[in-house]
Amino acid sequence: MKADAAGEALLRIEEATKSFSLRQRGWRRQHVVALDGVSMTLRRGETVGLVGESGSGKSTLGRCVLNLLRLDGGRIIYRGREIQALPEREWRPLRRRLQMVFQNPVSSFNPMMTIEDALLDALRQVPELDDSRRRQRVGELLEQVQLGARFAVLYPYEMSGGQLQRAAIARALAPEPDFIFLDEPTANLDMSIRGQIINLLLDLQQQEGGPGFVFVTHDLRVLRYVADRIYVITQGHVVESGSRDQIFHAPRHPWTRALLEAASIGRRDRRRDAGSGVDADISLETSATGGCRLLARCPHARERCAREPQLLREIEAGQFVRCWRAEEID
Amino acid sequence: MSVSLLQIEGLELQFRVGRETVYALRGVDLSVGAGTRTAIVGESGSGKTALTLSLLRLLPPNAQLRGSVRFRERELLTLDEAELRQVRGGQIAMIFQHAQAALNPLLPVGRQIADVCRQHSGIGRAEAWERAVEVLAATGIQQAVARARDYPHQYSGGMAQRALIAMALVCEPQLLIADEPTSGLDVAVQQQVLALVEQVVARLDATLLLITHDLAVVADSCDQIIVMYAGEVMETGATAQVLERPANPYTAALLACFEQTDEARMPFIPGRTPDMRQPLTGCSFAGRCAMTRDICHQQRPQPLEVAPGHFSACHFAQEVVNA
Repeated sequence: MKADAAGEALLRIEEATKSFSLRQRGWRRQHVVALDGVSMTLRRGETVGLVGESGSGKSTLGRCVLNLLRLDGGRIIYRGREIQALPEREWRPLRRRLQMVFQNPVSSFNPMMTIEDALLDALRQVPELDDSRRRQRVGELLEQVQLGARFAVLYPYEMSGGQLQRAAIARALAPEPDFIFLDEPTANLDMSIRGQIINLLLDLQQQEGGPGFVFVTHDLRVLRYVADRIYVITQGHVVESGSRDQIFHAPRHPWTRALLEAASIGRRDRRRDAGSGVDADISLETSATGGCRLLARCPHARERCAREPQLLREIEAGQFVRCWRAEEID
Repeated sequence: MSVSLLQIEGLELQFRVGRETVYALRGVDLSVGAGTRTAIVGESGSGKTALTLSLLRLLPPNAQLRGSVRFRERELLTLDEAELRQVRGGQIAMIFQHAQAALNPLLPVGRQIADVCRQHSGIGRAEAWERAVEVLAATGIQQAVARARDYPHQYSGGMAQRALIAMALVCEPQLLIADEPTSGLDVAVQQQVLALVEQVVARLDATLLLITHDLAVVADSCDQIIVMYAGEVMETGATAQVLERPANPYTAALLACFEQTDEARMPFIPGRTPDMRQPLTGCSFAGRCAMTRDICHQQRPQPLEVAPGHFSACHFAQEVVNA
């Protein structure tokens, strides 16, 4: 956590929108809004946590930033250039600067390739290295992720999930990226070994000139250790953003609070009215009624919440909340 | 402890894979009291799912099961298929993880529930359908009459889980086994599903066996905990006892991983789980434990009662609980 608040903005997402259409019951089309006006800034060398449940749009955002998906609206500015407007020829050399680590380390490796082959493959994106230098880098990268050079000759099936995830991080580090998007990197790992990956990231953060990270997760617990800033996202919306301390020690949005409560072992004051059954079907909610989208699941909802769309507003320096009642709720 | 509903003794489960043997359960002894809400906690490969599948003998042909499972004083491992079918779904119902995958995609949800109902109670088609709609409504599915005719893909994850709970509920089982019922659901829905499971159990006056890897879920849903590791039971006791004064180094280390602290680094358990293809001589956790001494590698620890009803399979259980 070395980035200071004044760090240079390396990548800016402005009002990103993205929806997918799916056909339902014959000819009628239904739209799923995955991103609905998401804006965020990533600064050089910082770690940004992106927390949201499945279907909240967090993975879509990652895919758009890596230019794997086209936005419907909004812009992504990287090093001063709008990446979605770049022709392939100009985007190519930038691509290696944005890397990704996927949730399932087993399926993200080719089972027929050794770890060394996989890393060499990634190192091909670095044109300034010759063959012997590349082989040397493989060893260095494996040391860097605390595996050691002896893992180079292993095949994916010979390694544990935690070891493979470290190899995936080594592969992402290989092309010397500015940012690594970690898409739920600990979700497939047991709680008892998540710390190994988290602590590795902490070590990587300490290295001068290392990349920044975008850590996408549904588990706030792990962000407590690694994130400089956190965005809480649900239903394609950012509902709260702020520094790690603001989110953990002074969360203002009811949704953020619910996420924090769910992650703690202590007695939760859970709403026991299971029968009320408001199971808002997030993925297929097409049009907002104009009010707050969390209306049906919010214990603090008032009549006004149903009428007014909620806007993101700054409640403390650097902390933004999408709820008009944020100050009153305690 | 209350009257025992389920009594498991010396349960061993092995899978033959090629020339190798995988030791999934290495002699499990436990008892689940009638009317309790018991959690089986463990990480992947600990044997928690293998254990519950063994109870109902829902095992592939390469499985070898030994030991004893008594449900209401009746031995389940020697029942024939017909008898077993009456127990499965009737007296012991199970809610599987990944509800969407547990439902048949080609049949309307209501039909699937009605089928279960007919299988066990012998009532007619029309009556069973009505019963299905009724239980769907009881689990909080709105417009249940219309929803019963929908297919699983038209349900969201939370609704599918509710439908599965409805299916478990329809025969009024005495034991409800819920295997990670909240995995893959978002937090708000998770809590509703857990609350619903508790409600159903309370209404039926049934016993709950909740399988989970998430200690946060256990803390307020269950009154008893069984901690498993590498196919063995490490610790059992009342939830408060186990969470507040763990008597097994594994439980203590796992709890530390869940705790919210202001430490700079995240706690973890070094090393990895033992090779399940090898028989074990000592303690299964010896390779990763901070307290390991010679005896841990040589002798398998037997459960020690550190407090009334609180057992730990550790040579140094007393030291751990006093720490």
